[in-house]
Amino acid sequence: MLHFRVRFIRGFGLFFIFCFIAEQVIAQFINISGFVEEASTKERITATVVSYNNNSVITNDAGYFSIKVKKNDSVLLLFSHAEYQLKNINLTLSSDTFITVTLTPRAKELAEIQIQSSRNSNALGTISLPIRKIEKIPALFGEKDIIRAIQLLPGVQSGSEGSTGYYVRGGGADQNLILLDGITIYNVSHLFGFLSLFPPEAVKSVDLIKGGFPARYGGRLSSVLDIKLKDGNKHNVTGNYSIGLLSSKVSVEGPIEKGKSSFMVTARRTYIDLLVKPFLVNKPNQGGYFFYDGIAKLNFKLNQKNNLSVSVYNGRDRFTTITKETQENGSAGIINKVTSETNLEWGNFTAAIKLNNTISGKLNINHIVHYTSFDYKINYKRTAIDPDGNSVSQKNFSFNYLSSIKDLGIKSNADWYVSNKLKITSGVGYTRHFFVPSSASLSGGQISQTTASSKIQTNESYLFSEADFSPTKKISINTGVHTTIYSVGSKNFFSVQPRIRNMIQLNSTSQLQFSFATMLQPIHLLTNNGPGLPIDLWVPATQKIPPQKSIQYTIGYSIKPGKAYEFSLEAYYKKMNGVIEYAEGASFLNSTLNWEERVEKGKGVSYGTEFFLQKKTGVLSGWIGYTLSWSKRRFTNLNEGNWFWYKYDHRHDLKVVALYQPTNKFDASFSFVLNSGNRVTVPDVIYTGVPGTVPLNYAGFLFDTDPQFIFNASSRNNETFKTYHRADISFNFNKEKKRGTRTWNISIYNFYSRLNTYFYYYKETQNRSLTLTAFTLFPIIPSFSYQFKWK
Amino acid sequence: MRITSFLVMIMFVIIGCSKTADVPISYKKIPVVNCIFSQDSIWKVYVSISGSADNPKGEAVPNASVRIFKNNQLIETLLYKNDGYYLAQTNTKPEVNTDYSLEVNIPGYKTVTAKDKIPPAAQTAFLNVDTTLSTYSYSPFDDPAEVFVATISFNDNEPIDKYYMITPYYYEKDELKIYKVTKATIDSLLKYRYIAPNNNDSLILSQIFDSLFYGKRAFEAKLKSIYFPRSFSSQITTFTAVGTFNTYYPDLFKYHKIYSSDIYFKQLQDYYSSVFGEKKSDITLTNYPLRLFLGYYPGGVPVNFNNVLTRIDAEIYLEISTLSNNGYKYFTTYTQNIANRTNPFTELKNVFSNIQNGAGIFAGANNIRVKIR
Repeated sequence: MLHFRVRFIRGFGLFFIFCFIAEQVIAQFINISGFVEEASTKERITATVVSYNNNSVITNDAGYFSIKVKKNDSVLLLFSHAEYQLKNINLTLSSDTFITVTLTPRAKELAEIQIQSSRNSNALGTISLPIRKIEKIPALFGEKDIIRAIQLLPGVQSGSEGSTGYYVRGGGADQNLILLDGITIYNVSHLFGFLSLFPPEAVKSVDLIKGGFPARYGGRLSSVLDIKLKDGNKHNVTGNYSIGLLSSKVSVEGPIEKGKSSFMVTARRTYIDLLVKPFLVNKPNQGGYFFYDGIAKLNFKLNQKNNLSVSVYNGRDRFTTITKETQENGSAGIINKVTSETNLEWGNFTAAIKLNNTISGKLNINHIVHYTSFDYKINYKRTAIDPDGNSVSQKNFSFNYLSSIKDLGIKSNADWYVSNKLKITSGVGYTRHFFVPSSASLSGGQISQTTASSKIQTNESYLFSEADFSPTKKISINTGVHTTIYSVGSKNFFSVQPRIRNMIQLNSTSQLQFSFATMLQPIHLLTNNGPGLPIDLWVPATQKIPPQKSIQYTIGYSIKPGKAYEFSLEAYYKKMNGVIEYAEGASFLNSTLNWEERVEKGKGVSYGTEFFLQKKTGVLSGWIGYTLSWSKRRFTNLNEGNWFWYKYDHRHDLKVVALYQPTNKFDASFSFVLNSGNRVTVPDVIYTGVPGTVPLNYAGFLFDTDPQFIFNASSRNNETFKTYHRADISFNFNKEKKRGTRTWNISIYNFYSRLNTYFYYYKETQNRSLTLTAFTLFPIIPSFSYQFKWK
Repeated sequence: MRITSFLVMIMFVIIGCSKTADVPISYKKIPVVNCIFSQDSIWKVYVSISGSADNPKGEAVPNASVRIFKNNQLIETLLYKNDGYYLAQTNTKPEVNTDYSLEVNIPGYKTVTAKDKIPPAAQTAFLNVDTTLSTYSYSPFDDPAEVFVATISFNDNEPIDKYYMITPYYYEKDELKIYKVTKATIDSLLKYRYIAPNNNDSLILSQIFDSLFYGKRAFEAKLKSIYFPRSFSSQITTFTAVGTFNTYYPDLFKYHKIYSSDIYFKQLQDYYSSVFGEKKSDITLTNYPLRLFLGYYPGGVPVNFNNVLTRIDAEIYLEISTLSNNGYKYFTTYTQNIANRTNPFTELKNVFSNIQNGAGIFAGANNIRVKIR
């Protein structure tokens, strides 16, 4: 592998020399560069294809493009984008020129699902989900959700029922790089994982990359979910508000200085706690749950070639219970009032300052300074008051638990449009990570102690360069190298990760593609194997627990048999090294001090085939996705060192999504999911232990079982949940009002009320044995919401 | 009315969603063989077929062929006694550091085999026990209580790997004076404690009417060769310093080279258990303290009579066992299996087995019993 990498890097250097020579040869051309914007909002549009003769370039993340045309020639530029009307511009130019082009949204686009590539036409393993389509997909409790829409794509497995965890091509939940405007988000869950952080109203674009990773991405093994926020409308103040069963939200955007600067603000809060509060007045037991999140973004057009944006995200979940009781204090007969309060909360905060700078007609650079944090806290406090109102100190007790991660970093990347056949993107970045993997403190009675895993600071730097190259009309290549330098304590890890993605246009309707990517992930997630509370600890790679690595090979074929239809078939094989799991018997509860000793290191393999049939246009549109896949793990100290199936190894996974829009006043959507169940370890061998040598009344975790019997599993993940299937349906009733558009949404989640297993747990039988019980969470759930978008 | 309907609907949606259903499991039927052998006892092997949730004990196997080999030479063919137990026909007992193997043939199943040896005993010549009064909260939710902390240490410098299991017991002195041993107890001893029904055995008994008696002197004299009836044993569980309980940490023991001082014992009468430790051959074990939190007063144990804590004279013993590596893995994983089997946050911990073509354990143990004064 090392020799391969050396050859690859040498070849890459030669390639750059070739590019430089090519640049000199084509001096008789001039550059037309600039930005593509939406006509009404002046929002910059990414992934617009700009064509000239048989050449084309694609606007970058900032909406920038640069294309070479013949000097003094009559030039016809075509600007095409799936969601916007085609635009032609005729120009005759004698020198490099900078222009701004505006596009108008398609009138009927709401009726269409345009699952499209973001950069190259149908790039292997890459799917872009237009945000307007996500809003149409049926959702739990009617809450539109980006992650839940992502889960409906082939190759993406959902975790537990209703949760927003997702698993791409056999990888773990921690192996997904989730970027919000370029900033890493560590936890995407609200409401114990049932909703995700991102309100679609604030989002401009969503790209999911499952394989064939461009060199600009790094740090995770299995996928990249690149979410970009809106910049805000630079011409008019617009917005919308919606009221649903769970939450209400409001989103406003508009100009600060018309045409030059803009703002965008969204805010959302649940109100279950407020609604139930009146029913809990004077009750001994109180409780509540809420989450909120808010996004704010300011965008300033400093001049024609420089743009500055500032964005902030803040979101937090809090679950609280309060119990009040009276307790007799020993034999003295004194009655104390005891109050116990438990708080469980977690939240994300991100902030970023981004400067987009166009240096010349060919070079566009982004600089980002970013900060992100995620923390998870459990606080328990018990206070006792005697009849005289005095605190009974020996009865007081408190317990605090914290796990957190904070990142502070800076990065820059540049897009260099060398020619119409070659674009080079290079970048550099540095992030300082601050970890508190786990910290617990106890005080009360005779106890006062703190146990904490040591705070760990790590440094992660990267350097990448990639080239989009089209040597012939039928071949396009994206290739590059991502290098990572990661240091923790005195230990340094250096990694060179070559990537290549090749597309061959077989004829006018079909393509063949293949890719190869190596990835490195210097961070791990310690995930409890329980019912799914977000008790996941982010821990750094260390000398004992080195970074995860992967190699993925992908091959794909796609064909467009007609204007409306597209079919693709992709096969992948992925090897992973350095994946971790808790050791048997370990969990976050007993891993505060020595988490590195409680982890097993192993490897994984996943492979499969994804079928994806889309109908892109028409009154009825949608897609069918089917994945046949295998995913397994092997750890020296687990399952006797034998391979075992991964928890989310879903052999079959079928997804159907349909959108129907006969008129602008009404649309309906339908989704259906069917997959093999999750894997679970259950004791299927029960026998008598050596009598009398193990305590008869040994305390179990939740309850005691008869210790004379041994409960063993014949292998890890030896049972499979029941087959999961569910159908959802959603109706939108739209009406144009004087000041905007009103929408009533009616959604029915799981409309035929399939009882899918959420998790399994053990129940004690009459003979103090165990029986397995399935817990199902969501039967049919109807919901409705009201939304108003004002002009 | 609208608001009320709205709230009722929300509560219905949020709370009324969950349902549960029992899931049938197809339990595997495999041979189970258990045998912990020591030089104190004659050969005794338990043979059964694994059970199910409704019948966790499984089915005893009365028609198996159970044979014991010493250095690959057949020395015993055991006879079926009852309830799945096969006993030696002779009074020969296993020897230390000798290879023994087991072969069990059950009709319809593959031949079950296993092998192991009895390890050398712990060296306890310099056993030291210091007992001091202390105050401690057994868990975050318990009131602080006065306990006696016994710090126990011993030297074991034998240059071989050793695996220890230490179990405290107590015996009330009153009961020691005239201890009534019923026929059922003797049966229990026969069944569980590897004591052969032989007048020449080390257990000295006298019989009056339907009951069997022995005196304290006889009991103490023969202390090294009998086990107590379990019903009179101490009852202790472990607690860690952070308030979690009921789990053992072999890794932690290794870190401390032998015993963790973070292992605490809860009040004797509430729980009991054993602690485990291991040392590698290159480690000389010198005065690594084992801290036991003992809910006893010197020379006695507390008994709650009508909410009044009363001391009863008792004697407390430590059984210091060395186990073979197989036995050590078995007992440590067994306790973890019990502790974690209802834990929703962890995977099930499988109990180690060295039985080929089956489950269970065939392991040697060497036991020493010492009194804490």
